[in-house]
Amino acid sequence: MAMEIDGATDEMQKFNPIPPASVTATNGASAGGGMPEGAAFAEAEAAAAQELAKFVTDVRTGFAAFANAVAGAAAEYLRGDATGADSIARSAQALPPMFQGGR
Amino acid sequence: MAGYTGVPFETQCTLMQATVPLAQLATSAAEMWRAAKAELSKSAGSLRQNLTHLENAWLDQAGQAAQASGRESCASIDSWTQRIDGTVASLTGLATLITDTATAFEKLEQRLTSATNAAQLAQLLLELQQEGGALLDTLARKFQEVTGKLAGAKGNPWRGPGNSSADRAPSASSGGAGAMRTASASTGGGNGPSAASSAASSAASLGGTASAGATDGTGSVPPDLAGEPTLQGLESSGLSPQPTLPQLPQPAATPTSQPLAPLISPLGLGGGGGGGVRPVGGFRGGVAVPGLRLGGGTKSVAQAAAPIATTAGEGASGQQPPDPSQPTAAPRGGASTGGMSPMAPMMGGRGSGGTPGPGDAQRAPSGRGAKPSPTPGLPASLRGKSGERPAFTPIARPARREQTEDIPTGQRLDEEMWQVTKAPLKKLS
Repeated sequence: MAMEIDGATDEMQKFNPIPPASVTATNGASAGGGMPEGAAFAEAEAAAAQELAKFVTDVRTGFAAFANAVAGAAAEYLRGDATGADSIARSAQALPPMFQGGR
Repeated sequence: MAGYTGVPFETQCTLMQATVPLAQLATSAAEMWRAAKAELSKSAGSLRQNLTHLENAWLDQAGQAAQASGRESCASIDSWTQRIDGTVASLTGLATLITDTATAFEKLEQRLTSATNAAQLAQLLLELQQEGGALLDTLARKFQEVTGKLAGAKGNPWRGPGNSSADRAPSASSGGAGAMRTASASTGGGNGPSAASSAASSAASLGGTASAGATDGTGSVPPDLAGEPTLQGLESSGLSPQPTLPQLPQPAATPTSQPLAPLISPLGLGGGGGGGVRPVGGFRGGVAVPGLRLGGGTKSVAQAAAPIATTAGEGASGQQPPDPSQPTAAPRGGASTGGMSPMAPMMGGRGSGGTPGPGDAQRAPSGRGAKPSPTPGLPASLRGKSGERPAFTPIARPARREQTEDIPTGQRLDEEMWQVTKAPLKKLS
């Protein structure tokens, strides 16, 4: 069974989710000379902020890729539409007149 | 945890003064996490909204794959935002506690001024050491709690488009979301102008891809394509999915029925190039054109296409399409299309060569189309003398061996030494 193509390209082209704003990691305050537990906290906070910033960057990249992919799929659908129509039209022109009047 | 009650009060004050700046760090961090949650929540909501709009607009397999990928993306975002509230609360509480502890230490230091003599001062210092130590112990526990909270603040990695790791490891539950998928397409049905699109499109980087073909990134064929011979051939050949249509041959037809192929072939509609009439291997099913319906399919023309059908034919045989000028090549290629009629081996063998190419429409068919290729695929018993001829008439080896008779050197092959009846050997003896 052939697969079905069913996509409203105009709606697909509108696909544009809003990406999150970039996250700026906090300025690491110096905990030198303070409580050792405070220094451990500062390190954990810096690492977590870095992870968060990376994730947000991944989301931003992913959203852009997602939007491009959907838009690209819509473009492919439209291109396939045109290519298929042209091909069929050329084939129809090559048919002898006896086949051009319908079946 | 080290008990701070054993630390002299003066040292406690020094530690506290150096720790106070961390209150600002905790406050800034809490603000950063809060802002990040707002941004991520907004983006997740926007993605869900876009997916909802797309849910009723993109209904084919590629659209479903996109929905699955989008849901995974939202889930990964949620895994972060759900933890952020707890992280922010911990950071805010820490900042408050640091500030409160610093204020408490200021009050403890002010009590030192109340001592009037050394004995009172020594006694007071011991009291302040205990009180200050208890405050620092409490603060140390809070630090440790928040540190643990930050270690667990990380959510799941991003899953969805743009993440190579997600593409490589699709989840089994989503049936390929996050994986490269191709969904092919020759469609039927006339759902308006949009339904005229027959070529499947590619959405490779999103988890769901619709393009000619019908394989996903793992090389498996979706179950609903199990009956599609051209797509099965693509799987068995191990070909990678074709990401974009431009790399594929011209769209041909919907693979719904067989009768059209023998009908169109003699009309010379098929392949381009090479001159002569080429069978239209690509036209496997019914083709409906404006004013003409062939093949008995109920699908409208605009749905034609599935160019992958030709690609599958090539991939299954693992060879280039045979040249139509060489009749012997056709039966070999025919193996890629089981079920083809023995009377039309060229149709199956062509596999991919039958799609119309540029300029084909302008080339007038030659006569009724049967003469240029005299007997392709006919059984030997029906070929007459032409069927008895070898494919290649010039035979090089015998000619070369006969020349050895004229060479006077006397060097012979072993087998020739035993041919005692031949004249050259008699001369030697």
